Formats: sequence, C-alpha cells, structure tokens
Amino acid sequence: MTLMPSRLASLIALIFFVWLSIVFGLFIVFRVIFEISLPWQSSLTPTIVAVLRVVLSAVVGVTWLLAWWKLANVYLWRKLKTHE
Amino acid sequence: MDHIIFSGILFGVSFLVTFLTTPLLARMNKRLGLTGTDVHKMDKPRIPEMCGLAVAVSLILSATIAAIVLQVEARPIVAFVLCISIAAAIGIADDLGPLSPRLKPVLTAVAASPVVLLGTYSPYMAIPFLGTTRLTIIYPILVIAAIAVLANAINMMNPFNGAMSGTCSALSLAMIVYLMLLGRTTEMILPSALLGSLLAFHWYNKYPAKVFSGNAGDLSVGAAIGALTVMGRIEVPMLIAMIPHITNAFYLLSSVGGLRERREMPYRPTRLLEDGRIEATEDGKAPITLSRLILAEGALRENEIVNIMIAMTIASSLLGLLTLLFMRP
Repeated sequence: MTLMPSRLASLIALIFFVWLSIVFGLFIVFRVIFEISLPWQSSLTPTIVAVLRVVLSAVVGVTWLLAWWKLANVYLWRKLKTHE
Repeated sequence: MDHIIFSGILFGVSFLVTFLTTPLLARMNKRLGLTGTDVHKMDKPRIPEMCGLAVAVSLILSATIAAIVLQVEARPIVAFVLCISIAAAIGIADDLGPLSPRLKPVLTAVAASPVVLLGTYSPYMAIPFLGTTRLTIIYPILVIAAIAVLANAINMMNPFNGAMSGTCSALSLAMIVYLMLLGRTTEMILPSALLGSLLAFHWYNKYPAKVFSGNAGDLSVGAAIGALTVMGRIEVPMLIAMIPHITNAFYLLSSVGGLRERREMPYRPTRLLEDGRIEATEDGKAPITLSRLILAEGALRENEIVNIMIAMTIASSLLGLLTLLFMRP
C-alpha cells in the first residue's frame, strides 16, 4: 500500500486544524455564548437572549466554514503551484 | 446472550449475507441494463450499479434477527429499518432517473424522520470538556438535518472504486470502539452488522471494482451511520470521525455555489492520464474536492487515492477517540 507519508501528513494536518476549530468552536458556543445573559430584566429579555445566542452561534459556525474554505484554497493552489 | 458475543455473530451473519447477495444482485442488474461507466479506467468498462442494496438488505435482516433473538425494545430497530429502507428507496429513484439535486437532501431528511418520530434519541448531548447539555427543542431538528447531511456527504465521497465501502468500514469500526469504551454494548450490535456488511461489499467494490454501490447503497449506508450515531449518543466523536466526508461535501458545495447535479458542472476537479493515473486539474473554475486536494501534490493511481482517503478517515476517527476521552466523566 502506497501512502506517501509527506502527502498524508499535510492532509492529516488539515484534518487536525478542522478538529481544533470544532472543539474550540463548541467550547465557545456552549461555555461562552450559551451563558450570555442581559443585565436588565423585562418581558422581552428571554427572547432577546435566545435570538442573540442563535445569531452568535451562527457567527461561530460561519467563521469555522470560512476558515476551512480559506485553508483548503491556500493548500490546493500552493501545492499545485509547487508541483508545476 | 452476551451482547458482545452477539455483535460478533451478527458481524459474521451480515458479512456472509452481503458476500453472497452482492454477486447475485450484480448479475441481475447487469441483465436489467443497470450499469454505469467506470470513468477512471482507460477501457471505460460497464459495471453493475445499485449493488450497495446488498448492504441495506443485510442490515435490515441483521436488525430483524437482533430484535427476535435479543427481545430488545422494538422502537430503535423499527426506526433503523425504516430509515435505511426510505434512504434506499430514494437512492433507487435517483439511480433510475436522477432526482433534482435540490430535492434529494429534502427527501433524505424524510428518511431521518423515523428516528425523531419514534423518539429513539436523547436530547442530552455530551460535549467535550463541558459535560452534558440539554437541547430539548433544537435536537430533533438537528437530528433530521444531521442524518440528511451525513447521508449526502457519504454519497459525495464515492468518486473512486472502494472509497465509500473503505472509508465507511473505518467509520463503523470507530463507532464500535467508541460504544465499547462507553460500555454501551447493546448499541454496538448494529454497527457490528454494518461493519461486517461493508467489509464484504468492499471485497467486490475495491479497485478494480466489480460492482458499484450506486446512490441506493451510498444513501442507505449514510442514513445507517447517521441513525446509529444518534441512537448511540456519540454525535460529537462521529462528527469528528467524519471530517473528511463533511469537509469534502462542504468544499464541493461552496466551490460550485450550491447543490448541483454532476452534469451541471462543466469543469472537472480531476482528469485521467494516459498512463492510468489521475491528476488534479489546474482550472480555477473546477470544484475543490478532497480528491483534488489529495492529488494537488501530483498524480496517483485510483487505489492510492482511496488508500489515502481511508488513512485520513482512520486519522479523524482517532481524533474522534481523543474527543471521546475528553467527554468521559
């Protein structure tokens, strides 16, 4: 079985980055964003807090995806250029 | 009967059933003209399609045997069987006459619905470092979305001979290890059947493929993995183990700007060379896929690409294992 260690190592590094971003992202969402509360109380407070949590969690999700996308693009074009 | 021993028996039964039914299905499909072109071979052979149905049949049979022998609660078994059957039916429809790429994910979400409707999930999700979190309202929606995404992600990760069967065998083994470490021996039974069935199917589907799994096989295996992940309560470790599949689907969808049929993509990510190797295209408009990333460093043979895909799935499964250790009380 030919696995080409250096090629595999670069690809596993990409997976490692995605793993770190997921674990860190989950930590931010559940430990920081889900703990958010507002300093004042009104009838609208629970709704505002719920919306804020969803929006901020979505921001974390989009940041994940943008980071993965950027990294894949940089990796692909750099490797293609080097190979050329 | 001890559930670990029974898991071993069911592994053997599903292996045998798939090993014996796949050639029969291949012969039948060839006679019916249900064949596809192996585009990564110089002579472009016609290979029987939809043979992954043998895996679905074997899983349904294994689940039924488990329900009868162990007298376990029927709901999870019924949910699992319905989930696979609906996904297989969607796959057959797609194989016979391609479904709209926008309709397919919606239909696979329907395949996930038995898991939610029969209540075979727990809304208490374990998160690494943080313990358990209660997601009563959002969890059922997440379950349906997740199973649909996983089934389609596995479907997208099958461009080469043995890619689906090889990577999904690694995922099934990871699932068994996670459940064993968590002491959930009852939940290990169906993943063991899935592993047995996938290994038998890999025998025929590996390079040079004698059978193709088709959308029917890919979607039913994807739905099975999704359903077993939810029922086994190993969502986060399996999300990590499936990083190669999920990122491949994400890169592809992002670079083509949404859900598109293969025919709607004029630029291909890879091309076949005259010596039989495959190389990444340098066209800026071609979609980014995992195979293109693998080939960015130079051309490889088809079986070498699949070996790298399997190695990447094993690496992500090990990271899933590490994540699971962070989740343990």
